[in-house]
Amino acid sequence: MEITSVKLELMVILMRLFSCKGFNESHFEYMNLIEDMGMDSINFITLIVEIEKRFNIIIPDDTLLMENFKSINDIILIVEQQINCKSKIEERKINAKT
Amino acid sequence: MLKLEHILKYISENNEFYKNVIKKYEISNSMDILQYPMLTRKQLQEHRYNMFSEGYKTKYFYQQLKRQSSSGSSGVPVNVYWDYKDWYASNLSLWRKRYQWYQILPSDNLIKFELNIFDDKVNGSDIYFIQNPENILTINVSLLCSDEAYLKVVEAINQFKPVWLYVQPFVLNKLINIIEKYNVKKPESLKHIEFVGEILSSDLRRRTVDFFGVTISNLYGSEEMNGIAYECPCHNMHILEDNVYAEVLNKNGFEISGRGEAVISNLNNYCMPLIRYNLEDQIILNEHQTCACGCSSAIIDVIIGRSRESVLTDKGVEINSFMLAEVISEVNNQFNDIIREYRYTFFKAKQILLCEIRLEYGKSHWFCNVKRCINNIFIIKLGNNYITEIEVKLVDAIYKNKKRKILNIV
Repeated sequence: MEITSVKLELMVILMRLFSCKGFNESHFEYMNLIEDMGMDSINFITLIVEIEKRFNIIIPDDTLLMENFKSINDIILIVEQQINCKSKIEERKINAKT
Repeated sequence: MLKLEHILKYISENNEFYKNVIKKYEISNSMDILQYPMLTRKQLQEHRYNMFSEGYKTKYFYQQLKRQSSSGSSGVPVNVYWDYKDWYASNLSLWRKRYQWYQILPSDNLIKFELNIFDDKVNGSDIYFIQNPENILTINVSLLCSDEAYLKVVEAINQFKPVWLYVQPFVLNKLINIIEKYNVKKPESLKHIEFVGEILSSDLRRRTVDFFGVTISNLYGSEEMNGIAYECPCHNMHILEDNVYAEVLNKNGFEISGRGEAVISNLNNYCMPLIRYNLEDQIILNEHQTCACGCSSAIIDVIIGRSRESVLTDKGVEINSFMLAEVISEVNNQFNDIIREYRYTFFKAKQILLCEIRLEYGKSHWFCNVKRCINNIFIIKLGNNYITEIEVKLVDAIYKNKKRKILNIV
């Protein structure tokens, strides 16, 4: 999945989570989700579940710190990493079968 | 490495309490759970400050940990602390299943019926309130003492339009009764109801599905563990294997299948690890089976331990054991866990509620303050419906009957 499409999908998720607080798309690019947008525990779990659902990945337990998800760029990196991991595992499974 | 082995390795290297356990019980393989002894609620209460793993006590003093309080359905209140990362991992285990089986997301509108909410800044007389985030409306169960209160709840549900409810069986049963009795509008937005906190009877299960036309699920969990088992669409209560490891304790010892007391090890809490913790609920556990839902984890067939008593006073006020446990929890919040054991007895003929408490050793001189606090909390909770007599008695020990109820009715 391309980074730009990951970013677009993430924007949609973040809008759903934070638009009720008066934030819009242009804010997400530069703001800190915790300090500027007040992300709390419930927001955070919602974000993780939505990311996992949307990108069909599992976020590893040791990554589950709010500080790792402070900005949209942080989140893009984590999502990309897990998508790549998943692709490699699937590739290995296919190679093992053949 | 499996999660269980990972946490056992961790505690053998990083947790003084468990290092002492390993030494005392001469555990030869620290990654073999079969060699570990049981941990009781009383031990957790007594050793709570010694059970922090290395580095977490500092976080505790700086209030950087998440606290979960068990109001003590067995009469022994405890606090468990979590590092936030581990708490998220623990809760995600359940959320993933909620989404997979019932398409429920954390962002969906939810009404939850809560018990332990004293940490929140709420006007004590409000029955419900909205916190951040705004998709969750919380109802204070301990204030639901009359038909009027329940009618307010129905009104709130109809206005808030939740997708799902998180509710205790006795509360939902009462809600259905109220809707039928007063012929008020039935909530139409609901898609799912999740039951928690006590045994869900098959009658109520059927009644709920017929009345609301929703999917339902039953959650077995605890404040110490978060989710332990969750009902799949095939109506099997699967152990949440990425959150806990489940055993039963009976006359044969520890087993992974059969009937006995639920002994649970949490796989995510590295801050205050709970290994082989006895929840004191009687369960029947069936080890790994193939279920049509696709999940192959062990199944809890029956949970016997969780039934809630309630009392109806002559004034028509319903007092349930949730409320009584919550009073103790609030006192402990204010007095730093001073109440170590408690029991209530309601004398029907005299309409007297007796509360017996055992205080922390050396703190009996605080009894008058604690007694006043208990009475004040009841005044807030019950308002004009305040029972005329609540007696609070200081005792040295509380002897439990086999059923370990916190509310006895005489």
